[in-house]
Amino acid sequence: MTKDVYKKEMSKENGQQSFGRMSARFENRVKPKNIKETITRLLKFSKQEIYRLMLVLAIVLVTSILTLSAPRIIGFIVDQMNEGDFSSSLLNKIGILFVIYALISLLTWMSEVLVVSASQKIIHHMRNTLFKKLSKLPIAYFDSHSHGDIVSRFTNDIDNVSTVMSESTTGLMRSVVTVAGSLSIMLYMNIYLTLGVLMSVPFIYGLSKLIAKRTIQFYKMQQKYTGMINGKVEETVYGLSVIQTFNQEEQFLKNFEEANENLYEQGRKAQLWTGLLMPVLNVINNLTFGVIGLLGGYLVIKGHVTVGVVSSFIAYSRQFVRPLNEMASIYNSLMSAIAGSQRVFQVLDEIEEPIHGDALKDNIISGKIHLNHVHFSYIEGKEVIRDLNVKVEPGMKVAIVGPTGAGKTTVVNLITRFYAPQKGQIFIDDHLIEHIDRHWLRQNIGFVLQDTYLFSGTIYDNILYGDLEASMDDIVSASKIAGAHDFIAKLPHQYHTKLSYGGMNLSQGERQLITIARAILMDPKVLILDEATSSVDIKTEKVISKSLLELMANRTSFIIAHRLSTIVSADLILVMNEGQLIESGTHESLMEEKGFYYEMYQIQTQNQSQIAG
Amino acid sequence: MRIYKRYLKKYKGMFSLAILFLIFEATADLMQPLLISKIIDDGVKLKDMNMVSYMGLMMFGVALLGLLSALVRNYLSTHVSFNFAKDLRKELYEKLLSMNLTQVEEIERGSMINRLTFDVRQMQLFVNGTMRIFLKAPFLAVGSFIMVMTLDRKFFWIYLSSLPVMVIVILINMKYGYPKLAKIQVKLDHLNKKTIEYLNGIRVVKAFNRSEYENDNFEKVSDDLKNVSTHAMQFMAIFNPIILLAANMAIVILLYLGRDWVAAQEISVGQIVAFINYMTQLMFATSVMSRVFSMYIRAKTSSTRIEEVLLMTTREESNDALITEEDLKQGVVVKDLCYRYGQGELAINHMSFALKPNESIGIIGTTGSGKTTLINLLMGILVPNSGEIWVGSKKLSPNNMKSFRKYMGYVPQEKILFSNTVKENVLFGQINDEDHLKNVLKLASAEFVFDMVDKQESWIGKGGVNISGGQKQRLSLARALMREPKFLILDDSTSALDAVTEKNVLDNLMLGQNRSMIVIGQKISTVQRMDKILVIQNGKIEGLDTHDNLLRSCVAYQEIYAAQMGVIQ
Repeated sequence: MTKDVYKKEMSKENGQQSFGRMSARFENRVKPKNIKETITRLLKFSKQEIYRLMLVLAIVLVTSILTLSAPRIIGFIVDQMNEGDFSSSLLNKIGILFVIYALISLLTWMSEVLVVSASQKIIHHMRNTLFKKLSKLPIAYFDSHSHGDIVSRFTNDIDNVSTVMSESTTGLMRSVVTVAGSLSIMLYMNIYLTLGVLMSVPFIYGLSKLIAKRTIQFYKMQQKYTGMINGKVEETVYGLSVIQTFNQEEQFLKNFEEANENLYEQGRKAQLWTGLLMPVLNVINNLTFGVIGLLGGYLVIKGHVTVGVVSSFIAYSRQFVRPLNEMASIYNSLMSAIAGSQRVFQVLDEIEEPIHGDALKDNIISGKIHLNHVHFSYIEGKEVIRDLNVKVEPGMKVAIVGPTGAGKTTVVNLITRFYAPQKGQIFIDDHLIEHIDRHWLRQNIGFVLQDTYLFSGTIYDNILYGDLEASMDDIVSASKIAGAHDFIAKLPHQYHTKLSYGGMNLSQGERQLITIARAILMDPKVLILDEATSSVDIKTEKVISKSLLELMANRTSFIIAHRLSTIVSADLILVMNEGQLIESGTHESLMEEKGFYYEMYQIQTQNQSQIAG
Repeated sequence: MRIYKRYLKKYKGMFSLAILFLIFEATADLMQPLLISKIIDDGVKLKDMNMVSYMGLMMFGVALLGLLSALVRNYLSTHVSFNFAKDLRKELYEKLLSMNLTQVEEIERGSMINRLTFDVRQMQLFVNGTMRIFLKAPFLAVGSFIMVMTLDRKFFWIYLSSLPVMVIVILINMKYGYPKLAKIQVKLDHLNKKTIEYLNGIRVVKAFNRSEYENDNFEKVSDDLKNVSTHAMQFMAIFNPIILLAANMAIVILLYLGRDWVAAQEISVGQIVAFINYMTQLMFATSVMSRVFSMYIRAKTSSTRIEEVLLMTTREESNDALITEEDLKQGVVVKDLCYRYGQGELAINHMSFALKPNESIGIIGTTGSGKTTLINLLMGILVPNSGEIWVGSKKLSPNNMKSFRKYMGYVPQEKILFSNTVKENVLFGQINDEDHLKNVLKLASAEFVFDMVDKQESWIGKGGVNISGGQKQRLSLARALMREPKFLILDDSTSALDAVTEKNVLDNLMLGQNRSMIVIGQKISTVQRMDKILVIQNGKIEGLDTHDNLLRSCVAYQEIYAAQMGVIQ
């Protein structure tokens, strides 16, 4: 039954996946099918720490043997006392016990220290691997997954793995050794008493298995809902101004409570089952004592064993059962680690953005771009680009115009290889774009996106992002070209003004200017400006466009803009509507055509002349 | 921890009950060594099989009672701790919803999310723990002490000798462990922040080919977290072995001294065995306690972070001075408004103006002149440093903001939509009226919705279909119009629209004149259609008048005009 639920869960996730855009691409990804596979993968992450862990194992082995021998020695001491022998050999035994206890503490400490450093390194490795993986995933992945949920995998899920690793590694090793050791000593001492102790084993095994089976699915759900809550909080923080001005707090709270209730339900169930384990095992423990007391008492009276044997047996049975308990509870917490690591592996198994191709790698791009019968759709059956044919010669200034939703930004997404066309080819400098190294491509294409994004840090840091080796002078001159220098100079700390998260202390327009400066600093051979100045006032825009024109002189450039005034000087104007290229040419030729472009231009100039009139 | 008093009260009954059963459970545990010593001393030694079986059965009985208590306690503790966590999350989220933008910035997004999940979980673990092993441990410790005393007074000093060591260890742990653990949480926040920023800026990262650079940056944060965690946990690793040592040494001392006592027949061998058992229990209890303290420390850190959010003063809804439609009909007056971001210069510099009922005002000004800040103040998203806003006869305050917002429609500059269907995004809490919805979509020139595969039911946002910036803008306009607002605010909301669409949208907006409107625009052609134009520069009002008058009198406006005309010529 558990398996079915698990499967259902998986297929549900698949369902969600196909909801995203690149469903077909993600279909064939590998998934950790079962617990064993996940554990194997977890162990692979531990490979680099193998020597440290081996050392720990050795120490634990010694410690466990010492721990095992202590009750036996106490047993000898007790027996000797019972026999009324108080000679110096008794003192010797006590001395040995002292040394053993001291060693146990020392070794325990050493193994803990080693385990902490090993497990932290493993987790660190896992975290970094996950992050590196992100940088290899296609944009489609980020467009279709909740960021809050991804973040949750970095914190909540990895933390789960980390807790279990650092707390359970030595525990598990110690348990195994102790169980084996105490069992053999008990067998050596008395077989009947041992059998009495062993009665507890099937109960412990069955119970922990039963409980673990239940908990894994609850843990998985718990982690999933934690991710969902993360996503909701993220979205709420982002859209808070809208939520508040629309008085939608209650609605959002209600939505949140739903996810919250789910998290509560699943978490509570997981905890109920896990919490069951310890007390039940404790009782089995105590029952075992009862068995030993009864059986041992009987055997002593019959004269088969000594009192000393019974007293050490009690200690051994404790040492035998407790690690068994420990193993059982480790098994359970392991389930939460597995649930966590499965969510991490899920990301690691996503299909990466292909990098391949070294055509052109060492060349300098000339900027010739050719789109040949390109078709593209984000979701199947809904083409946003239809049979697009465009030839751009090096150094050309190309403007893309058209109503919103015409597919202008999608063209940019294709040229930059954020997305790949379903049909048709794109050539850069006569090479198929798929054959070109992606990094190389992006090194040569600079673009300013419609949605401005600045990182926290200073303005300086953000502009520097365009060219990490740039000097302060470079940054200032790039800012001057972008028209950003004036307002930056007025800020209290100028270029070293800190941007708060999302850059709230700057206006949208100012942020756009910074992103333009960032792109200018990069000095790319192909420059793409997607609505780069939409929030900038027209007066400022006019100043920038002059310097931008100079900048574009020797490079291929694409400009997407609604203000037709910024595009009249383009060498080639592409007029798009509903994913198709409907007109192209220069401003003059298009005006003569008296088509779509002409009309659009008329409306804008009409607006202008209305002012003038 | 005072904010938790409420919760304590709420779950007082269940909590006490859980503790009670915990005590039963612990008592059952404590009985075991006593019973065993009885079996050895009274049964085995005297070769009394009846006594042995009687005591053995007693042990079974006690064990079963222990189980029963444990089961009840498990249910109760789980119930309380998970409800507590749920309530806490809800309260935090509720608080978040009522915070203003400055407060959100203060906490930071990454940290906010961590507080709602990670920190709440720490608290939950702790609360659950108190009802489980944590209280059991001290109880066992005290219990084992009493039991030892009943064995023989001689054991008292031996037992006591190990105690100071344990107490000192726990105290050191608390004093030095706390700051170390607190540091982990801070580093975790950094990690969260870094990841969120990376995800949100992924296009920029890819565009500038900065994956390597970002990986390096992340690794730095990740290294930090690793180092801090390793250091803290290695520091904590010393305490358990010491406790272990203290308890074991007590056993050694007992055996050493016990030689003479047994020889002198002052104590029995059975008593020594029992003592060793109790010592083991004490050791177990103490090592659990030391773990409890490290959990307590973690919980304390989390608790401080949660409190920080919960104790923020946000508006409270009160019933006085609510803004009514009557007030709205008397217009809005802004008096001497000032606002600055942090320690910066005044972003809004002593602004005063009035908006007559059903009047429309266009706002124009250079980039960074304070246009968005002004309307954020009007909408209560930001709280002014000084100055007042009056709606009719009532002064706007955080208390009556909600009643004002009831009449408001707002289209933000950023294209904020939520992960949901188109319909839910546009309805956004309004009652579903198909005709009205269709009409509104038409008014906002958002007919493209009907061409989508799933029409109004299409999913947008994360995991949904890709729509362009202009389409998002039109949907967010439709969302505002859906409410038939009496007071409509457009923050440069047509920037991503082409000229034709923009004209249609504005035409539609001008039709229904039964509302006040504030429209921020870059183009004179946009704001010129309003009754009046407010010209802003450097946070100051340069003019508020009609287009024609401004052209004659306002220098700033003339400059903007010249710039825009110049472009076209």
